[in-house]
Amino acid sequence: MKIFEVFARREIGGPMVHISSLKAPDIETAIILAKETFGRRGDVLEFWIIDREHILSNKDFDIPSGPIIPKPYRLGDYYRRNLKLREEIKSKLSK
Amino acid sequence: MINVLYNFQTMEDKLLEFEDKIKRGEFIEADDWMPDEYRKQLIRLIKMHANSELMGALPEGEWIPKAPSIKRKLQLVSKVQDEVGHAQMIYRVVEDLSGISREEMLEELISGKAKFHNVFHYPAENWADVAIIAWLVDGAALVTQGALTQCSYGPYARIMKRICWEESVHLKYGEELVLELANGTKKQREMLQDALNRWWFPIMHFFGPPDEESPNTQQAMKWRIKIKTNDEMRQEYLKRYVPLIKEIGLEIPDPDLHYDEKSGKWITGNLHWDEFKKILNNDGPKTKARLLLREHYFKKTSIIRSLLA
Repeated sequence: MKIFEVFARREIGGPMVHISSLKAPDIETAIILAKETFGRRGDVLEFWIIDREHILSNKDFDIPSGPIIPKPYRLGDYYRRNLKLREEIKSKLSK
Repeated sequence: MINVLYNFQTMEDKLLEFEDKIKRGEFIEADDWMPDEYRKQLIRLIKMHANSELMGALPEGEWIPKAPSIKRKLQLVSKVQDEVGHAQMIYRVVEDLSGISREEMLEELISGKAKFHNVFHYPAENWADVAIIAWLVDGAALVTQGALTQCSYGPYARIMKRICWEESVHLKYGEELVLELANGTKKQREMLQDALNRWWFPIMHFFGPPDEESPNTQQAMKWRIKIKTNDEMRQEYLKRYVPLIKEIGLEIPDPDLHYDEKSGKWITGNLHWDEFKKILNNDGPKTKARLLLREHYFKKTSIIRSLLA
């Protein structure tokens, strides 16, 4: 038996999303099982069915651990002080 | 055989089905049937976008060694990395859609035959230019790309969501740079005003010619390749940014720009479209130099491409 990971697009224009996995002896059976298990309500627009062995995951390589030095400026929250700066400039200008 | 005959659809049927799908607000995926003209228009648009992300990294990249502090350097490196990343993601979409390889597209770009956005044909003369680019040019890009998240081509629309998220951080970073200069010395304020004077009209051109001079707009809107017209996007931009620019004591270099209460629209003065037309022919002040630089990088990295091939 093999394990297959199942992905589906359920929303028009939406991304492929991982639903679950299933066990099957071969890909043909996996397709039937995926259709029966996850597609029987007719709400799946597209399926990807992949043998788990063919998926590379962070078991095979290091997961990105984030920057070694902090990089808060990559996120929007860092720029909250813009509002304060703007107010400062406005009050200077009104003097 | 009977089955094949039974499923036979004429081109007209296919086109009707395709247009119905778009009318219903649905998305077209890479493997779906699409009219050749739709594919052609998409390739032109998306390729131009990819080229622009890549070329757009150059004027800012030039400033990495000259950034005024380590913090500013790190922020700029991060932004340039994002922009090059956008180019990678968007070239991928074109490869699937067209069968043209990235290498071919880069070669076409270097040859000067491909198009990229008008704003990247101009020099970034000083640090205030970097500030204006990150705030106001990225702001303009966010208006056009925000609209494209609703583009009928699914793979492009999805990648645009991711890109817009990153662009929205750039915008805040750019605003910080602008506010810092606006809050600074007289000299810094003058620098900022000077940069705005040089960048304002190219930014106005960025949205494309006025609607009455943009004959392809109707067809592109029908197929949702375009979501808003050029003038609609220009208005959206003016509505949002003119008050923010004026609020910090900067003057917009278009003396005739005013808000018309009756129509609820901003009316611009002469936007100097001749300059835009020159740039469309790849004849801008920095076009040649930037393409040479791109060629230099392309050659320098050829060994990496050959190792990966």
